[in-house]
Amino acid sequence: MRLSKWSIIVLSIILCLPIVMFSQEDVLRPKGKPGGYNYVEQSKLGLILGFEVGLNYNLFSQTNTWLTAGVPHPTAYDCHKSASGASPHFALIADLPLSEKLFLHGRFDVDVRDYSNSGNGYDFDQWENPVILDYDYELKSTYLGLAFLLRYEFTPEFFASAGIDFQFLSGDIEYKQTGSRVDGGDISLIPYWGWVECRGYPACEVTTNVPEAKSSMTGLELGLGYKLALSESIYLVPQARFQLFLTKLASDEVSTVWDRSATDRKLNSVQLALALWFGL
Amino acid sequence: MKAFYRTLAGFLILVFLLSCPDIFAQMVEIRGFEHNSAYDDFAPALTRNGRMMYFTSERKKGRQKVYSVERSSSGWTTPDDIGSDINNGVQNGAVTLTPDGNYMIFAAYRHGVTGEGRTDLFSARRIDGQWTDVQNLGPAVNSDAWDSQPCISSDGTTLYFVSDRPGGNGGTDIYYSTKTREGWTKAQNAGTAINSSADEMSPIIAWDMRNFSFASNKSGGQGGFDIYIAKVNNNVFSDVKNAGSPINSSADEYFFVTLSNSDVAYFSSNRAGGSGELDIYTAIPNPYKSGSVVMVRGVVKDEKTNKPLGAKIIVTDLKTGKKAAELQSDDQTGDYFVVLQPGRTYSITAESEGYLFYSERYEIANDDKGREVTNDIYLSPTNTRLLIFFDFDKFELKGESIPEIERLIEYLRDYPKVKMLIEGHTDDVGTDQYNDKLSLDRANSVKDYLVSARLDKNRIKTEGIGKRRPIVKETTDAARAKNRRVEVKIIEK
Repeated sequence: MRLSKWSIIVLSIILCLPIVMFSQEDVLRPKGKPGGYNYVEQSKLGLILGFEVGLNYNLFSQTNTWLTAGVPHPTAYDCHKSASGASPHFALIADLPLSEKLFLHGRFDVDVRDYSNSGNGYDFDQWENPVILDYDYELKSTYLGLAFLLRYEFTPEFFASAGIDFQFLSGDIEYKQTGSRVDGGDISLIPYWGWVECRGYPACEVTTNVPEAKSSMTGLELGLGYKLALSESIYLVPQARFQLFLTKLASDEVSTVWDRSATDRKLNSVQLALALWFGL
Repeated sequence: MKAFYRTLAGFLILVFLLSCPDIFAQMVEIRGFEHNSAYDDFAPALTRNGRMMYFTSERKKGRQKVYSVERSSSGWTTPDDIGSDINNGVQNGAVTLTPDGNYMIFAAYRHGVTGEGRTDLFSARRIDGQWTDVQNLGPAVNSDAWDSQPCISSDGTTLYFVSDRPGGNGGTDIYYSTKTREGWTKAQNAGTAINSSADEMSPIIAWDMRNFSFASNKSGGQGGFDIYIAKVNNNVFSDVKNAGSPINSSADEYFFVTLSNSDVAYFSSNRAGGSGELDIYTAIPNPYKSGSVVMVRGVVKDEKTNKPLGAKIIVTDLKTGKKAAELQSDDQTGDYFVVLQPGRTYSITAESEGYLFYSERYEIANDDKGREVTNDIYLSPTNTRLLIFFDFDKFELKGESIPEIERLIEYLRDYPKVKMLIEGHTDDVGTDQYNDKLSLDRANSVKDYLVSARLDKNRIKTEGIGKRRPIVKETTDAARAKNRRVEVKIIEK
């Protein structure tokens, strides 16, 4: 797993957030125990607005099938079948009570979804001799998301949420590939890398966009969270969620260049978030 | 001259002793409760003559929860979390219970049951051994401010509690509300006799309903919150005084609870030398004993099967005819427990679905020193003895009989198909002919009252049994008193 600059920034924010608890009422003291650890009262309106930062741990998978059977195929690219990576996530939230314990929870996200994988195997040069290759690839994308969830409080702090999540692709899915011959030879002698103009170098980097990327994805989300108090009307809310996307990331692709098809391209995500909620 | 010096010396010794209350204080032994934890333990509430104690503790996860312990031969049993129906708020506790231990009022912050605002008061009932039926006491008692630390009088009719709602004397004040047929009345500030501009906390009314204690951090105390002792009569407070050492210390003291008819008091303090934070302590002998009470306990049973019954227990002041308390016997064990005050005459009535009610009379002398009476109540689905009184040789109903006949009227209205036979019985004094007539006249007196309440006279038959069916075949005054009675038998349902 590689951490992008954004991920490191977000992680740093989370770790540096000062967790300042305050004393709050109990059955003995209307203003709470001095220095005590307590919980925030529900706001009178019950409406909560807030923002959150977090990390998406993206889990990409696809099925690769070689088109021509009965001939040797390179193994350097087997890592295409899966990829993962952490990238940041930002969101604004609104939370409305439906009953004492049930809430309607809406979230507008900006989700950076980067994921990568690397492999080591052989490919064939133009004379069909096997060549050992280090290969890695990275996909970078940004989605704007809308989530509509029901949130249920098991206790005044501990809650679960579940609902539907829509993700809208902002721009393209950038696809960066890096190949490197282990023997230091000219990588352009391997047909694919030759086509992309890497003549004379043992290593080459190629950046394109994922063709046929879907402009939106629909998914289901299940999460758990815990509300802690920072002040009389502010909650600090660590959360963990799993986002299962039912829509493919991109349409199936048949590449005669690669002599390979890529199908069932899906992205799921584990999302860790730290939110500040403001009771109104 | 010698006599003068002796008198002067005696006077000076007396002045010295009176000015040094700590000398007397040394005689009171303060001992920590065996289950105090390193965290807050407070608000002891005793039921069933001190056999069971509920208290609030933060011992687990820093949350205030209600625990119970029971007295055993080897001390108190291990504290038991009383269950999620009560302890499901963020903070729960400061419980108060009726003396029978079957009805509770507690405070909770963000309880699962909807509240009126911040910390609120809730009631709960003990059914089949479990605390359940949690209800918010509603806007007459609760406010959107902090409402906590309830204390219910031993007759269950007056509730004292603490609130920081606007309109008080400053800080937290003590309020009270009384229970009527319509529910709890609008809470009233208990007034400046006990409420100051500082914080008043932990009101406790003794079972004698005359002695009162509370905590305050007003100036003039020993430091922090001190216990104050007061007298109360119809919610008018007087004779307020600081409890002094060794009850009070430079630390905080709260919840001074007097165990009736005993030398024991309980209170909570965070004084040095405890187990940590607030602890529960006993003070023996109790320097502020409450007045004596009579505790009546027993089991409500089915007359034939001896099966314990859950029953409504109604305590009536026979002089005023007013209901003094309404309690509930334990649904599983049939146990009931009632506190009666000296100088009054009561009836205790048990009512259970499918049974005819049964009442007993208790006349408590003014100078009663306090005691515990055991009296099981047997209910029958078809017959009962009415608690009805006549002057000697008369058949006019005495005033004390009215509450019982009103109960019979309510029963006949609740069961409109029931037809009953009212039997009059006399003692063995006098001839058969005379007693037959007297007993029939007495039964007819009851019938006349029922008919005057617009009940169909055809539903009620009467019979004069005279002295032919005595309960006790003796000639003592006590036996004769038992034999003079009016019984009711259901002849058609």
